Amino acid sequence: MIERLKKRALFVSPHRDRLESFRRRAGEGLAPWTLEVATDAHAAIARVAAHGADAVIADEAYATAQGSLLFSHMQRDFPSTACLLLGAGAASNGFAHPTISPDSDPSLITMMLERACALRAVLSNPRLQRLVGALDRLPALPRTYTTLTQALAVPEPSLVDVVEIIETDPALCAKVLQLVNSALFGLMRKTSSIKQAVSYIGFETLKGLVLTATVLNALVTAPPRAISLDRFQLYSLRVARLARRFARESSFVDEVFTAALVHDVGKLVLAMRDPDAFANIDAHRLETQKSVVETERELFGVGHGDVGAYLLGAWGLPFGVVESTAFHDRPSELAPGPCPIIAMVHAADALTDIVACQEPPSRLDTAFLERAGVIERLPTWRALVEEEVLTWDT
Amino acid sequence: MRIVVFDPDASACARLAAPLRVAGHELILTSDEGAAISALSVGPADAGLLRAEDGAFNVAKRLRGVSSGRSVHLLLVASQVTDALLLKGYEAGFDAELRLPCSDAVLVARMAALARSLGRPLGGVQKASGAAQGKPDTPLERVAFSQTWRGAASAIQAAAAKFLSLPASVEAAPPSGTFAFGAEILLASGQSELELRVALAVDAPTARALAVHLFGNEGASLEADMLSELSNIFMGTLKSAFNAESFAFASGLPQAVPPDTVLRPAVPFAHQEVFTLRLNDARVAVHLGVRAKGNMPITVAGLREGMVLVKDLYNARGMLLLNGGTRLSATMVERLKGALLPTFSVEISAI
Repeated sequence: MIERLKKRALFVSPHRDRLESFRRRAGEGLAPWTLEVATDAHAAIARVAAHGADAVIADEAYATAQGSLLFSHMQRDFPSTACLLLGAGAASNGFAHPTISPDSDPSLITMMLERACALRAVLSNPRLQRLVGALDRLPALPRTYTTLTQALAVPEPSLVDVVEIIETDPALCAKVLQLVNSALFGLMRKTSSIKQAVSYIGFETLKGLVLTATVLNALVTAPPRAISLDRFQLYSLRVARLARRFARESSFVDEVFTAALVHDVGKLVLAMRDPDAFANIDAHRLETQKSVVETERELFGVGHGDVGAYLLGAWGLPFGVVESTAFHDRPSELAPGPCPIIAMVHAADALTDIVACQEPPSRLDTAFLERAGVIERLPTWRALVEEEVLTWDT
Repeated sequence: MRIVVFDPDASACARLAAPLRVAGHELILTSDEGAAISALSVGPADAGLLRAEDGAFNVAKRLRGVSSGRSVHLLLVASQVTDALLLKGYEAGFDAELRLPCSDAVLVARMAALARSLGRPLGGVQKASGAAQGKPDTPLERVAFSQTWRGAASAIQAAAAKFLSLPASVEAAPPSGTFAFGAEILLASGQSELELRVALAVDAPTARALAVHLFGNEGASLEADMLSELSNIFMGTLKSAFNAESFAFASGLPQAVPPDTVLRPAVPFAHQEVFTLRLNDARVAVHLGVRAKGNMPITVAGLREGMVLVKDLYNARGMLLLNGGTRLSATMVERLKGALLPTFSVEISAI
């Protein structure tokens, strides 16, 4: 392959031997790549500025302060460059950037590189930047969510600490209580106590509720006419609970729950950006028989999945959540590689659409689910969705 | 009691309902799954007689999934009852079975026993609220429990016989066939916020024969006028009777309406009766309905063309489907039925 057509990856590590170890491990899979090295964050930033890079792979040593400097520069100044972390943890451990274990199978290493670059290409679409930039203000990072995430990351989170974090934001308190007291949780008796609410629903569900509430607070300055926010939130929670049931036995159940909670957040942006066009999506689809993604791209130039992923990426949510948001309604466009989170989010979302909103069976991408290795679980998942939807009367 | 009868065979449906109507129960007949769910869950009904077909099991399962449908007593109607059928029925949510053939006397007695066990009046319309048994506590219920309402069919029979000088009788089941002419008259009671409807439908030969009888040979083409006059006479009879019970219904004008809307009015009525008025060989379908003014929640399955949405309507995802104030066209109704669950509740304007 001619050198200039190869993708360029920059490996950042103070230890040159780690680069050689990485190169040996990845083997032939790195053939399409030119691999260069920088020994610190400043050198890496300078190199990318001078020569560009498709991907920056930072040694796990950079999962700390210097890493923050490196990654925040990349995100701000070189948004089309994918950033990955080479670390000993699992591939999905809550980092905003995809992580590759140095002991991973060589094919997985190259797959993750390709996937990170593919997502970065999606999120670098100038139309996305124009669309989100056209909002009155760029939504702020949901601080309460990140503070809560940190508090829950310890081995034994403190209920007192968690309640204190929530109670610093009265509007958030009210929203969490509203959701907990809704039909979704079926409480026998309404509660007005955050402490009681947290005790009842558990920390992970609370984290999801806080994420939903802070996202809405950040995005929505005035209620969009074309969306009922209450119903939108309830539906997202319902899909998330179903996705969590699908993922019950897995190690990424919490990430699946979070990804399913926020997968449609991009719709809020589209609805506020152009309420009339958004309200016409349904009628347009009826006329053209096109999918939601195709219709959104026709009317807005981008799909709601791209918009949501852009925002969630800017907020530093885990790579798995961001990728799932980008591809949940077009999973076949995902580059090859393990994709259990997207599979479960897509299945929960599509099956609920089919059962509760009478969407056609083609809404479910069975070819993708077969590729993801979950096709045999489809009948069980469908039964779960039907059982759940039967309890809905709103 | 209010009883819903569901059978894909409309004439079988009517045959089963006939003796119960004579016994004074309020009957709602349907061959449509969605309409059955709507009729059973909105109100709600006291009991449902559902013919053992796939649709009946779907209706039972969906009904038990909504809070307003959990207390409705469901009977599985079947001529061949096997253990497998019973098992399927109980799992779907049925409470008991009704084996056919069943004599009218036994059927009526069975429903009377059920009414006793549910604490309902043995015949006539059930009250909709939780007030003490047999004591209506809203104007709507007072109408539905009144002697005028109970005797409305007889009063109409008498008025027809007198006006047309023809022998008249009442049959419990509505006539089958295609109607060619329809007329309705609506009266509103301002004080008690009620609306009363009398509507008639006839086929073409009946219309012509009655028009000739009323207006002479030159009146052969005045079918619509004849029908409007009949509905006017019937409404006058009822109005006088209700006024005597302190329900001062104001006057309304009869008008011709599409015949298929006579038995399927655009807006649902809280209480209604449908029967056949027989005049010699002629058969006139009669619909009596009474409802409270104001908005009414109905399920998607019960939506009809002409209904007006009270509020913006969103789907389960929260996406706007139609704006509040929209009068539903046939296309819109189909679209909503395709986008929402049949048991989804929609608020529509009563007037």
